[in-house]
Amino acid sequence: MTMSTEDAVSTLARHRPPDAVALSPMSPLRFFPKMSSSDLNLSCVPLMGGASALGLGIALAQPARKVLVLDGDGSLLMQLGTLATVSGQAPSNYYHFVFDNGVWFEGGADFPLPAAGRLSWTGLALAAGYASTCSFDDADDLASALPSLLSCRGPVLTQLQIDTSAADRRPWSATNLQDVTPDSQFTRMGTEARTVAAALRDGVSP
Amino acid sequence: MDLSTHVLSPVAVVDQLLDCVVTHIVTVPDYVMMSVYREIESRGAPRLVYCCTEDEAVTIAAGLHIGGARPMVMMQNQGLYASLNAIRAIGLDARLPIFMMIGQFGREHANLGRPASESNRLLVRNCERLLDALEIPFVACERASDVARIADAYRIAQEREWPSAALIGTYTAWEPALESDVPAASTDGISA
Repeated sequence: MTMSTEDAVSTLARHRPPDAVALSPMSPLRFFPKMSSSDLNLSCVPLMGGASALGLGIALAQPARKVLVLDGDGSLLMQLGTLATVSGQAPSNYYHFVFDNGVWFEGGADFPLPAAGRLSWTGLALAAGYASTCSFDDADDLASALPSLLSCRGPVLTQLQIDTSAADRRPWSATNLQDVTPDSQFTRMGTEARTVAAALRDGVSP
Repeated sequence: MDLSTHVLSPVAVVDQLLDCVVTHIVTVPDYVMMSVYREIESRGAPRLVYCCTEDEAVTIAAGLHIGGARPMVMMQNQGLYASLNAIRAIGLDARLPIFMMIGQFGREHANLGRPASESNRLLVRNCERLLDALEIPFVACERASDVARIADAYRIAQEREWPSAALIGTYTAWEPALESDVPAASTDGISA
């Protein structure tokens, strides 16, 4: 059983409740907005580590609306305390998906995360006090479980075991340079934040 | 130094926040504003959201704002240093209005009444310089007459869609110890 980042994002996009707010950083961001276009999408860039906390704030302000946080394992490591903060606030509408690929810059560099392969995200979340957790290494299994998973009382953490051999980009090198960061990378989060805020204020669903 | 002239009432501070209709205070607790927390707890509003780090606090506040709430952040000056990248991303690049009330931990009594930028403590004197460098407007509060400036700073953040700060330069009082029970002697600094 294997699941690439693209497979996992595609599955989440297909099952995303249309009125749910969805936040994505880093790797998931390369796919999610194209697969699930919405005024309720929020890119968490450039702020590695911020998605879980940003999603928590929205979940607290909008308790009747589901919030899906598509988080990277490297991102969550940067803000690990958020597991405790989420647990302490216990938002029942908070659904945390952790892309467990064990690397930074998937495909482009694959730098190993600390304790890669030994961390249990479900174990950490349960120990912190999340309401429930689950783990998947297959997109079909994830697809089958998502409807019931998204009807569970949050906070729920779902660990997505990602096969990095199926990454969509090649290693960076002298003949395969990293992309230049555009200006829009720095304004994107603010622009989308105002769009999401307006959609929430107006009660607009996609 | 007569410390009775440099003290803030927690009741007056919380009144300012409620006048601004602040709904949530996201915080890692600060040593300087202890009595403000107790006052908020006793009133039951605004809602206190305790979290683990100050960059997390800034980011949660941004999410609350996006969701339609009226949040602010309370932290210590050490937290400002710790949360710079979140403030950069959330406040400066994304232009979200994050108001921060920041306790000037470690400020020596001898510096009261003088610019904090002249403090002997690096932590204290670089705080204003740091905010200046980030182009974040701030007000300094250390006397009763300064308290109204807290609401001014909050409104600046909302109007400009930009961060702002109130630097709390002295310990907030424990009611009813205000004025009459505050020692006049200078005891230089208290360690955490």
